[in-house]
Amino acid sequence: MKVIKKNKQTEYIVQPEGSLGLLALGAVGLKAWRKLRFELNRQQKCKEEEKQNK
Amino acid sequence: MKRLAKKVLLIGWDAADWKVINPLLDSGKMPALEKLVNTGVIGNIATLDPPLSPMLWTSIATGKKANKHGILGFVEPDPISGSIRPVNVTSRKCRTLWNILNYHGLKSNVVGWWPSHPAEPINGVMVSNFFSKCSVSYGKRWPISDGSVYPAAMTWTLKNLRIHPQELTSAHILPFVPLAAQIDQEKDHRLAILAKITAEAASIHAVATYLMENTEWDFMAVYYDSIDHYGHAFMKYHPPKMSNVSEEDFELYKNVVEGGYIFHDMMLDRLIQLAGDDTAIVIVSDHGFYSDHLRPENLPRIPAAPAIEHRPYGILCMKHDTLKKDERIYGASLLDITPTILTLFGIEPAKDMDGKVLTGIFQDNIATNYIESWENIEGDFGTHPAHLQEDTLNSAAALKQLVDLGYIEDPGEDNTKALNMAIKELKYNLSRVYFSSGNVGQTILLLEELQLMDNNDLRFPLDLAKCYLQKADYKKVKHIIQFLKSRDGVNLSYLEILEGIALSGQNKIHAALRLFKKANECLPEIPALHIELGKAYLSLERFQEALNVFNTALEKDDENAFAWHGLSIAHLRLGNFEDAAESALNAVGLLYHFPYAHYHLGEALYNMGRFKEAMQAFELVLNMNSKLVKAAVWLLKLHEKAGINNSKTIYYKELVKDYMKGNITIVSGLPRSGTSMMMQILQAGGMKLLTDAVRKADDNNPRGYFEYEMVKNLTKDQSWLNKADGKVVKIIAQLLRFLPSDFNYKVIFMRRDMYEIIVSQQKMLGRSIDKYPLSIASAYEKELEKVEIWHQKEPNVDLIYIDYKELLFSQQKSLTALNEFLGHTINIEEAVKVIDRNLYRTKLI
Repeated sequence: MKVIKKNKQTEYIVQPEGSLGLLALGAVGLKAWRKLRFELNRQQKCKEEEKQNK
Repeated sequence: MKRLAKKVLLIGWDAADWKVINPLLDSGKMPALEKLVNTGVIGNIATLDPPLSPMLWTSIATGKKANKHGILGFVEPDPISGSIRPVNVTSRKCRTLWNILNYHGLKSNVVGWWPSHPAEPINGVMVSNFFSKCSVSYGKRWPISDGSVYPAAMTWTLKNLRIHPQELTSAHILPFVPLAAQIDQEKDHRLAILAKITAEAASIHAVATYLMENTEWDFMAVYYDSIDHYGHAFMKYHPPKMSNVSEEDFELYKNVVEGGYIFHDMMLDRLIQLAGDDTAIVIVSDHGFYSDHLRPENLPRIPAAPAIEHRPYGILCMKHDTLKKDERIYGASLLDITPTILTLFGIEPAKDMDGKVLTGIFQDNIATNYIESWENIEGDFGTHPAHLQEDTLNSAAALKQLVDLGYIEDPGEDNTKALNMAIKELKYNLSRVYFSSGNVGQTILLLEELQLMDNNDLRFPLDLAKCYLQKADYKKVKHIIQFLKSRDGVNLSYLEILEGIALSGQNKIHAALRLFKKANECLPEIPALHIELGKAYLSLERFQEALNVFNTALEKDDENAFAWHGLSIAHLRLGNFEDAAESALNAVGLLYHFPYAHYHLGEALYNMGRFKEAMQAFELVLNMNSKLVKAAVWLLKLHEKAGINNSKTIYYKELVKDYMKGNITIVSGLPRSGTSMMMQILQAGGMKLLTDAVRKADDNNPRGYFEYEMVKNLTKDQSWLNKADGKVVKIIAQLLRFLPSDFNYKVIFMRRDMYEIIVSQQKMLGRSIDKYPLSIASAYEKELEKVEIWHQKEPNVDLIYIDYKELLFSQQKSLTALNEFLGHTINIEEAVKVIDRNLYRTKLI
């Protein structure tokens, strides 16, 4: 989970499954969601590779 | 002109409707819009006919109707394939708001506008309506249509902001469909439709927000088609449950429409935040969407049938420091958006635009100057080069000719069929634009051409019949009805309505009423039929029945301005002036440009003694239609009452002078109420009478009847009225309401005890006076009520009641009142000499 700032007052939670709230944030929300998914995928792949290597 | 707004954000929500929004605002589910509503101006916005989105959004962006802007439908001929393609912006024949801003060096971003493909080379960024459309599986290469983005260099950046429907997860779907897990998606594809609509909306939104954050702009327009698409796919499941929807489907999909609006409110919140406080915000929809019992259960199998689900009122909400706050706006049209936004930028709108500046929304009075046109001015308007621009119908004809000549390969049977269908629809849509603009001649030409193209399409003769009704060409209407009766699949009840309207137009109201009643047995749910029924009852002066049917129409559709207007007239004639005013207000609240409803509002207010407001109502009538001179007659009456004499008075006098043919004094009453005596009095007092010697004096009227024979024929022949100008003529009560409205009348109405009148009449006819004919007395009482109604509704009528007995026994008092009424034109001393009490022979003891 990651937190992005919508504006000075409010923050928005970014979760891997996404949300309508994130889509409503527009480009910023979309990019943050995709970045998190990319990051999680990368970590997952790393873990799988580590497992295979062991 | 002074620039009022630094920046303007125009948000298009296709098909958004206050009927769905209001309950959501009330329950706090659309907080972003609520903030705008509370601090801005809101109102209904009238759509245009036909309510087809590409035509409407182009009207919003140009301030012009489709006959001027040239976008006539969803598809158009494709000069390359010889078949059809989605409508392109190159078919637009005039400049848009952003083109005009471009000329003034202002930067615009336009996202998703329909149609806007290929993107125009504007000073800013344009992302066309092809940009977000997805037709490939997730994970596969998703190309972007050429020309979707201008400048092309932005394509790569923006391309990655598109969201594929399959990228969405349950987190996006569950707010719309909480029971989504129960759905077998192999069989039920509705979740896929929901995902597609939502993803496309999110793509448009992502691009819009990106451009707002990362580019400099003065004007930003972003168009979302998603509310319309949620509506067409899911409105049938929206509460209350429709009878043809299964319980299971209702439970699964009942939240989708509401979810769609909430999602748009969330996106709106972000747009407002990015726009900043000094930006004027305009939210507009092109039409509404039926969400209640008026939702059609089935759509007919005709082209563009889904448009039947469109309600004629969309939404308008505007907020800026220079605009009024928490106010309602009435009478806005889609055509007004461009002139109003140009005014916010301090740029003149043009006279060739069909819309107007919404001056009433500004806090201060604003001076609006109009230039002739923006079309012929040389300069950089950011449009496509001339060689790329096409005239849809001309290019269709040229294309067909080339195919026929063999220069272009025959596109094949299916393609040719599609092409012919497209041409037919474009022409039909154009005919509807002409008709709604009042250009009946052009409409007829097009419809006749269409009928030759396709004799089986019954929309054409039906619309032709409407045209001929407007032209009062009842022979042709009859001919069409006969033609339609010979065709299969025509609902005879609709033809009865059509025939009834034609009969009403020929003043054959009883026959029309019979047909309307017959049709009503088969089509009891149609408000338009109840309105025709109500109009027939009004013509027959059966006001209570009229009231009942207009109320029935309103039970079916409480937003029917015509039903409210009919109800207002019925209340007026029944003397319920407050109800009449309220109904008329409802009518104009729904349809502001409705001069007849304003007229009857004025009449109701006058009768309530609210003269100032009545004056405002009649002024509006004249502003909307200067041919409704009766409004000027009312205004003169009101000015006289209030002692006003200004430039407006002079204007109204001029209008009325050209309209009015003369001034006639009328002596009226029921037979044997003393009208002959009054004629003698006026003659003795020095007034000129219009009489002839046809009816001689007799024992009943030893001094004569003072009648004029032509009066008896008043219902058919009014040509003799010119002879009565400046004179006195006797007209019985029953005929008063047939007097035309282009004379001023001073009516001296004789009142006498009803018993005395009836007995005197019985004696005159040599009948027994043992039995008092109650039925005749009751009919006479009704006649007197009708006279009073006529008096109330005709501004050109001044009326005084003179009591027969009082005239005989309080002569001075009666004659003084009479003389005052006539403007002191009679010699009372001479007049009083002819009053003979000996002729008072039938007395109530």
